[in-house]
Amino acid sequence: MEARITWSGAVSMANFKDKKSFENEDFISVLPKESNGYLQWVLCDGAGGSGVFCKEWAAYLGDHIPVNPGLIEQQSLTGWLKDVSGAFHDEVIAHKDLSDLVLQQKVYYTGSYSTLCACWIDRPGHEIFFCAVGDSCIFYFEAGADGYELEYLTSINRQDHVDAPPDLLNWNEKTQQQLPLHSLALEREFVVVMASDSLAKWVLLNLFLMDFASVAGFFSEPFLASLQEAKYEQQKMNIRLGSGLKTVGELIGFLKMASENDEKFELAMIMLAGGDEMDVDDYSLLIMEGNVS
Amino acid sequence: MSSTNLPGPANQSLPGSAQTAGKFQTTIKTVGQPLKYGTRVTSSNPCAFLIMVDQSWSMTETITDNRGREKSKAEHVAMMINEFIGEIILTCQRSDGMKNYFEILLLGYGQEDEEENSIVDILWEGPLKGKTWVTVDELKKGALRSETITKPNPSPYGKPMLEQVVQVWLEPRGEGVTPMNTAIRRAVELLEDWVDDHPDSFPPMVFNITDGLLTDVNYFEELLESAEMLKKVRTADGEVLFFNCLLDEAGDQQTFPYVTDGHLYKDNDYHRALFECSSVIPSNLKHAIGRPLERSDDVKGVILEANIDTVIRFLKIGTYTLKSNVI
Repeated sequence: MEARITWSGAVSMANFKDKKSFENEDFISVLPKESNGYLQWVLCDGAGGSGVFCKEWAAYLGDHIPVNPGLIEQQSLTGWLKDVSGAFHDEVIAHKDLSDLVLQQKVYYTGSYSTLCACWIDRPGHEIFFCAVGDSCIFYFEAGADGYELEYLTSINRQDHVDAPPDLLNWNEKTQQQLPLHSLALEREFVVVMASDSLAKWVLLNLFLMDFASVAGFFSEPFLASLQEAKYEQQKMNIRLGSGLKTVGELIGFLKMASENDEKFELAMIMLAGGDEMDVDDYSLLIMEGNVS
Repeated sequence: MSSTNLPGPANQSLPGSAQTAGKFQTTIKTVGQPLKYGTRVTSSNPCAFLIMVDQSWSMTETITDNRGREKSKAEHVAMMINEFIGEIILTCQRSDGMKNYFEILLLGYGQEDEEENSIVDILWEGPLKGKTWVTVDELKKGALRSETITKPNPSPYGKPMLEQVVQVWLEPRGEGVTPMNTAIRRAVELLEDWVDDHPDSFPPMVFNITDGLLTDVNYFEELLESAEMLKKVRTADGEVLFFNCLLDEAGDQQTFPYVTDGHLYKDNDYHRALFECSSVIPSNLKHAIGRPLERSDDVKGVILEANIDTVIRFLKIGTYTLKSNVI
């Protein structure tokens, strides 16, 4: 028995309102070729609203994430981040023109922020690994008797408010945080969705509308209360009247179709944001479907 | 954009796709009602801060902040406003230059003209003199004075010492009486001009910092009437937000009270009026007030009997809004 990926899509776009495509601060990568039996998907969302050179930092993080989670114990993953931070400063920041003292101040006082979302699949070991920091999200669904069910999600559920400032990775921090690594055994058909924050919140609102009870257990009471604030009540209403998806299967189908190519993704995101179902933002989506056979 | 697909079985069906395909192919549509105070801040949709500063004589009184610095109220307030502007410039600094995410206007009331009449006036001096609303790029280039200092680098990387530029846009002043009501009326005109040019932006925020009783009304109803006029100015995203900070070192500070706590001010008509004329802080900005809320009630954007250090918390509503709403 081994895990098989039957379908995979990965798309990313800059916010369509006032950014050009090269200004997209999200980074995505897929390593479809196995490395010691592992497949890897990565999404890093550079938080340009908070720091500088966040696009570069997100790409550097994503490019340098280890391809083999089997080598990673929590401690060494943290050590990895420290090494990557130093290398990013020396290879990227040190070569920037920082003659503008305000820019220099922002570089060394604020640094660069990014989320990190990584997923690895050990095919022969039929095991899946997740590492996520920030409000980009990984949703893991398994097929059950009544369709797909959410089995795991990370990491927006560590926040106590949907719009609380997310925990982000910054090369400039003296004390680098511990990185979480979680694994699950793959036993049946599964779907993994990785989405940057605004799209992840839209997925979350859909899941709450479809089956509140099965999702609520992943979140704290204050987080759940924050989803009842006016903004999110309005977005839920817009979702009901707009895209109107009824089941997790429909939701996954929609996301798969949106991830087929750039044009479909752009159309889908414009439709959802235009209908005020979610915020205008850079959007990224990675989705994988597989089974164990 | 990029797209990657792993090979999968040929002609594989997409679950749920049939139901959604029709909707997926439709073009942009809008359903439901637009959200208030939800517009993201962009260069094409900047937000606006109007800071009203009391420059009356009483602002020359000396007070001590929590770091033991003894200065006049006017000096403290000017320093905090300069730091606020500096922080906003830093927020708008991007890798590739400044982004004009906000426009600002400083409006003073209390300083005297040549005939010793207390007046209301826009406070830009030096390179910005004569301007009304100023973009962040203009601010960065248009300081009244600048100084380059050297400070230790807080980062574990880079040089141990860094040069840093400290800029000043507002000098302290204190003379005359307190024509706050006239200032609010002037603010209404300036805000109307701004929203005409930015009809879809996040609504402007007005921060009023004063230390005493206004002197240009006979009844507090006049103040409330002016405040209502100001709060009626709106963009498509909501009405202007009017926040007030009343400095009074001797008092019992009340920061951002609940809207249901108006009865607490029944014995002080001025406090009651400032409470009434202040906007409710939108729910998505409540994080900015810097304290946990014990109740789910809304809170008013007002600080009464504030000590000088609270001005920073007061202005933080602005920086929080900017940081949390910038795309």
